[in-house]
Amino acid sequence: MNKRDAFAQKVPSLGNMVDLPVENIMAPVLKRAWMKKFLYPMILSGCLVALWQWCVNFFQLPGTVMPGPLSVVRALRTNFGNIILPDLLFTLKIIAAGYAISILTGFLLAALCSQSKWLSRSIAPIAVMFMVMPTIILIPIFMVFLGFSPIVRVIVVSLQCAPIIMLNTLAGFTAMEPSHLEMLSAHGCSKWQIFTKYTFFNAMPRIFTGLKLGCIISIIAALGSDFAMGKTGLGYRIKISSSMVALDMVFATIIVAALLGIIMFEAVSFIEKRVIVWR
Amino acid sequence: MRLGPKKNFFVLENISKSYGENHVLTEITLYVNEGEFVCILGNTGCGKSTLLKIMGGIELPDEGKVIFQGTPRERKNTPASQSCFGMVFQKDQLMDWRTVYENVRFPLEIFGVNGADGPSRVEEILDVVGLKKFGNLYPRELSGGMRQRAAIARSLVHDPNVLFLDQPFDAVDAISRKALSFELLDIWRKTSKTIVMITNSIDEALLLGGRVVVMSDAPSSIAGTFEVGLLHKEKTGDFRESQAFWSLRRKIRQTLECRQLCEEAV
Repeated sequence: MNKRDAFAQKVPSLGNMVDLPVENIMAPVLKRAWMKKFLYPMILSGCLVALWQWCVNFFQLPGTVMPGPLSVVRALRTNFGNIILPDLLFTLKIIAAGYAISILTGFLLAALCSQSKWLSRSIAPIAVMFMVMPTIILIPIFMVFLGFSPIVRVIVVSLQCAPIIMLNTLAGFTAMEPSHLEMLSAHGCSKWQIFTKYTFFNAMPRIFTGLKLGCIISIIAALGSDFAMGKTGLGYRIKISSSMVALDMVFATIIVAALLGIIMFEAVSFIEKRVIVWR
Repeated sequence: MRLGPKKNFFVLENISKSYGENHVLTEITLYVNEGEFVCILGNTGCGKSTLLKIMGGIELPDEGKVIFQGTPRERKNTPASQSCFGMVFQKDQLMDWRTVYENVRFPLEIFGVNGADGPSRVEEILDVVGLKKFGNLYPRELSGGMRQRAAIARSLVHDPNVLFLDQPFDAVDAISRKALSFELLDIWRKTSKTIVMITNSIDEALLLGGRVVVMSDAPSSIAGTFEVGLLHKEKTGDFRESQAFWSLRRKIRQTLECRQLCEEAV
């Protein structure tokens, strides 16, 4: 609505003419954008699923080797409510807690590090270390102290997710253009004014990069820690089903985990588009 | 007509500046009177931007004094010390996340003039630069010329006494450049502000400046000062065809080139 008004203002002489046709012109374009985003990937996935089912039928693969999509859907339908949903909720809680803690600590550490080069130089390598470490090798360390408590998983998710949020936020805070700083200095801005009116907004795109990456990492870490410990969680369900050769169940759980990841990522992207309106 | 413009409104005394081994400015002394339009002309890299940054308080000189209205400048910029100045940079330095309106309002937020007349003041100044209809757009939606207009509006919104312009029209296409120059002249006539502008175009300096200061190449000092003087009043479209314009133009060109030749000989 804003853009249309802006366009009408840019071409004042066309102001009245622009009013009517715009919607008609824009409608197919919008439809096409929707198609590009959803329809084409869905067609492709549909074809692949059909091919998958055909292969299973044609080669007469047993369910213990390769379940067909139909049996996966059947497994999903019969087991979602009583088995997969509790696991999903459990993992979701771990992800939510770990992600929230990571956002808080990531921002806090980035704010601290932006104030001192010395501090950021000493923290950065440690942050990178936790980020690149495989989840599975972190788990045993904390299990020594805390046993099978779910807190272990929250800690591991935070340890892996916070660094990426921190490093991206820090990059945003420090990526200031010298010429803009001159402009701010010419206005005699205080440090606090520079932060609230310039640095914070300037860092926004990078902060969201960190949040999106962190969202992915937290899912990976949560599923990974499910694998390594405990008797609940989506990762555990995949592990246990595969050891029981219930491959239809494995695939069903993987689909749920994938959907969870896509929905979380899209949610963060949606918020990003709402916040960064100036791009 | 204003009564008795103050002489030596803004004074630079023996300003020297170097970045490490690189001597940029040596012993520059410059007097600017109130209401004057001074153009500083020099070749690329001669340190004219540095000079303007020192005037605007962005950089500190190594030696020498900057005196505004009889008092030396403080070493640290504060909103109070900067509210008398407006600055336009080579690039517009608009903030992407603010609309044109919010960008122009920025100095009012900093200088605390955000009272009841804030909004009307912003509207008024947007009207002056011809951006009244575009207040709600973001900078990326504007053309280069419009962005620079917004930057000029921002430098004027708090009604500063002195306006510093650092090659403001360099990033603008030729047609907008000419239009903007005339508009700036118009603004200067209407508001009688003191303006110091940096340029590397002789024609622009002559068109706008009441006085043209020519700088030599780095480490630069002032190579010559030229009064455009009376010509100033009748600066219209055919100003460029007058005899006086061309003789002055030749003299300035000689000063610029002579310096270059001397440096090369040494």
